[in-house]
Amino acid sequence: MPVRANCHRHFLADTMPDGTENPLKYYRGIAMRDAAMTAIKPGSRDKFDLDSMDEDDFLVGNQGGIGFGGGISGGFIQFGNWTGDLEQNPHNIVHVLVGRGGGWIGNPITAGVDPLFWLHHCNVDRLWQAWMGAPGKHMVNDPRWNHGPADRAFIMPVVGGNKPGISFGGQDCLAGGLFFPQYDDLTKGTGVTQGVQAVTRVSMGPSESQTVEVIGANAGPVRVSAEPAMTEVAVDLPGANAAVLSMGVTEPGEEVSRLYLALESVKGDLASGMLDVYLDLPEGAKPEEHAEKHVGSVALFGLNVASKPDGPHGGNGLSYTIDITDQAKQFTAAGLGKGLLKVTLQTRDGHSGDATITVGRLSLLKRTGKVG
Amino acid sequence: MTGLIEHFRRPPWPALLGVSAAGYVIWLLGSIGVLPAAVCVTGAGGWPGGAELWEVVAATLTLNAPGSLLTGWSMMLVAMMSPLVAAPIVHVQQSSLARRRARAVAGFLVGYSMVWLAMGVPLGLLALQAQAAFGPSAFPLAVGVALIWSASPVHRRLLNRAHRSRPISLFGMRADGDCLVFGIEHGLLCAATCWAWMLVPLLAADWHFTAMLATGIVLLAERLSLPRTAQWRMPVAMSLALRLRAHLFPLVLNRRHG
Ligand SMILES: [Cu+2]
Repeated sequence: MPVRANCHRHFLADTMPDGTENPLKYYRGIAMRDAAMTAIKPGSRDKFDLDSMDEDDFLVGNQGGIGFGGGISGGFIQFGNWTGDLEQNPHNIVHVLVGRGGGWIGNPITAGVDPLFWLHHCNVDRLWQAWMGAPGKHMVNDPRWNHGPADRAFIMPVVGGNKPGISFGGQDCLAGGLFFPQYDDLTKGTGVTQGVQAVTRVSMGPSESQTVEVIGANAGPVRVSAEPAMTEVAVDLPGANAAVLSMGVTEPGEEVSRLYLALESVKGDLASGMLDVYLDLPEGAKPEEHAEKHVGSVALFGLNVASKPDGPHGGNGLSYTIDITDQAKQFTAAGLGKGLLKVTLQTRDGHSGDATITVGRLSLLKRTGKVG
Repeated sequence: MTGLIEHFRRPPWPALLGVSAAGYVIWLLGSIGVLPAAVCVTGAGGWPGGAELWEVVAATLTLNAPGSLLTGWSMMLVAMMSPLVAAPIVHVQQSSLARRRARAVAGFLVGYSMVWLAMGVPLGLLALQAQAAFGPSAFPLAVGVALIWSASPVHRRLLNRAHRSRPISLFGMRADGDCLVFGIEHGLLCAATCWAWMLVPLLAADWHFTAMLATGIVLLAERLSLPRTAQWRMPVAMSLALRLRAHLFPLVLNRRHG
């Protein structure tokens, strides 16, 4: 589902409601109207979409490697750092696309001072609210989320800038919370309709009874710089065959599975960037000429912070999952049956230079549930 | 607080806390003679001043069979270290094929325990030497050293490194090797981080069990604290004590003010 790159009228108005000049009218010295249009130019591989709204579960697996909401943070999770679906796309993608001209929103350290950040994050909150209101979605009632995030504190500045501001957590932005807004509409541009079930995906049953297991992995860390890097994921055949058999199952009560490609411990010095992922690219082929082999992109927002050895992620970087269930037929022929999956990684133009991105391990995950 | 419970009620925490509790109980039974385990590496009353280290070592080995020293040290490790390995165990499990998970965890634990069992020798000698040199002041001195050590940037840096994961291979010997190496690597970082606190129960004489329990909690709190910039900081043990006080005192004050 495409997202229209249109700009909110409050950012375009010449004056504030009281007649004074609108400080939001300019973005980095350029009129917002032009800045927004030149900054957000999604390319063919940007996959800037609302696919995450199709996910039914907020959190699956021990540390949230798969799900709409994503990874648990804090001292208990020392090696995880998983990125959730909504966090990945559109959240991270927008940070990266809008910030790629050098805007503050492109770096987690400066993002909060960018006026577009607040517009963007309000929209992420709105998408979350819309998702919760759609039937068939399993939101958690988990204090680790309600009182989170555990790895940092959120502070809302007060007018006049007096310290300490207002501290708040996840719960304060949900219904009944201090910062919960009244939404006029939760359908427009959200990809879901309130109270109406969209049959985009087979329900996999309660989140807690679903399992996630690794059924394939490559041999070791992959370094990606200006040149694309190819690696082979060796697949455990019994696991893969079982996954293939139960992938399209719709019979209630039967086992159903989805397949994910996981990029574990992605590290680098970049504040943000994009990594394109291709499956089964022919030897020596140029990735950008094979859109049909492109299975997804990960927006590396905050890679620099997550890769710092003494930062809150302990230098483990970030981890991502890409749902490749729909491409399954394509790569059943392409190597899943032979037990080998060829994966090519390429950094996106303008972000590569001589900077290197390392992926600790590439693995194939099988998520299993029972059709509900 | 509810978030804390939410974490502790998920695997592998209940199992690890259970194993830890069993370690404490077995150690306690050993110390009161119900089970044949060693009580403490050092003699209870302290050694006469001026004793040479070799004399102390000889006396210790005469008074305690080496086997019982090993059992005592092992039970200390089981009690204190089990909760510390929750995160690496989850990492090793989730990185391995479902049918190899148990084997992967076993490999990690072998590597990890090898390091800590071996650490018993230098730590025991260090404790004996401290006991010989400082007598009854050895215990408060050890607490002081542990507090200064855990406030130091070096300690924080090591603790941050102990939060670093390692990719685990999926198949065959390489998978076993990776788990073993990860265990050894994690054990070395763990030992390098925790050595100072481990001296505290070793020198606590009659208070060994209490010191062991308190130290176990401090080490867990240190491990669960988020990685952060390495610089001089208030030790986790002290902020833990302050937080406990803050939780207890408001109740007392409220009652007083009716
Ligand atoms: Cu953001």
